[in-house]
Amino acid sequence: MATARQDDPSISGNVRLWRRIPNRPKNYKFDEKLNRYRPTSINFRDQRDELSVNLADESKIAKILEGHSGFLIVEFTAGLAREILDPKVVICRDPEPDNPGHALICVKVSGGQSEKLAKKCRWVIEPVELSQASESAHDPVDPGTMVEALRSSPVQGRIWTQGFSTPLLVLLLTLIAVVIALFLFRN
Amino acid sequence: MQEVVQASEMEWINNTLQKLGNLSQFPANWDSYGGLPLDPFVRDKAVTYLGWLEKEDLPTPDVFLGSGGTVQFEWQIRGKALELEIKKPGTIAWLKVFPNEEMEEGEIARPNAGDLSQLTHWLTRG
Repeated sequence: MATARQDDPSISGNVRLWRRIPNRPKNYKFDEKLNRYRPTSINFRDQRDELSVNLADESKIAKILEGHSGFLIVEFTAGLAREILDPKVVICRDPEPDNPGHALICVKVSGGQSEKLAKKCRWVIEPVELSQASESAHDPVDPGTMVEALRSSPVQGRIWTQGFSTPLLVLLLTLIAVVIALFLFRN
Repeated sequence: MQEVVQASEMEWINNTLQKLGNLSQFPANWDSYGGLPLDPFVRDKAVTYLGWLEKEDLPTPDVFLGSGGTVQFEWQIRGKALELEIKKPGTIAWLKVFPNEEMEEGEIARPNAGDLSQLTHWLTRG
């Protein structure tokens, strides 16, 4: 129960939290004011008032999505959660055998609070069909984590890298290979 | 005299009912966090509440499933947004988002048609 858990002060304000959200049914929508797609507020409310998250620096995308193909991931900081949610919010570690970075945000989240979180979080894995619509709105994800995820998980969402999306990177590498081949052939 | 409901007004209701029906297909743990399937009681309440709104000229809302088997309707009109979450035993948790991003929220334990009209009129008027 939420009351038995204690807030973990080591989860400081700048700690990045990842939350996996389902893509079926489509739990995102176009926000006219933000002019982009965002997850809907209902993703940030839990029937037990314990919101499951992962500490980004201690988690792997592949592990979070293991067995949940097609799911999406959003990111927000612990500081943002503490700012938006009830002052009594408890953010604590809840390690799982194969997922040591698992944590919980224990508090009853109101509609307004979840709406604010939904508007201020950012995509880490966004729906593929949204990638063009919101490309300019993204900050890069840690490239090390991205490479790890690419190696070990066939995710259906789109992973963001430092300035390059995966298909663009593949295209660029192919072009370089073609240019090198042509150069060698002519000589 | 019997009131006439325009076909266009019925259209959003029919579309919404279809979206609601689609939510019934999701099994337990659909969200990977032990999310409950759509609660039949909540679904019936949602249908009743939509019936109360059938004469309102509204766009088709987005319809989402909540982790407790609840239903959330979301409308956006001219910078305003209205979210209605239908929960057991028929409670409505509502959220108004104003054009300046200020929010107001509340719960109605035993809603009636007037309560719902008041909320949707806030959305569509002024």
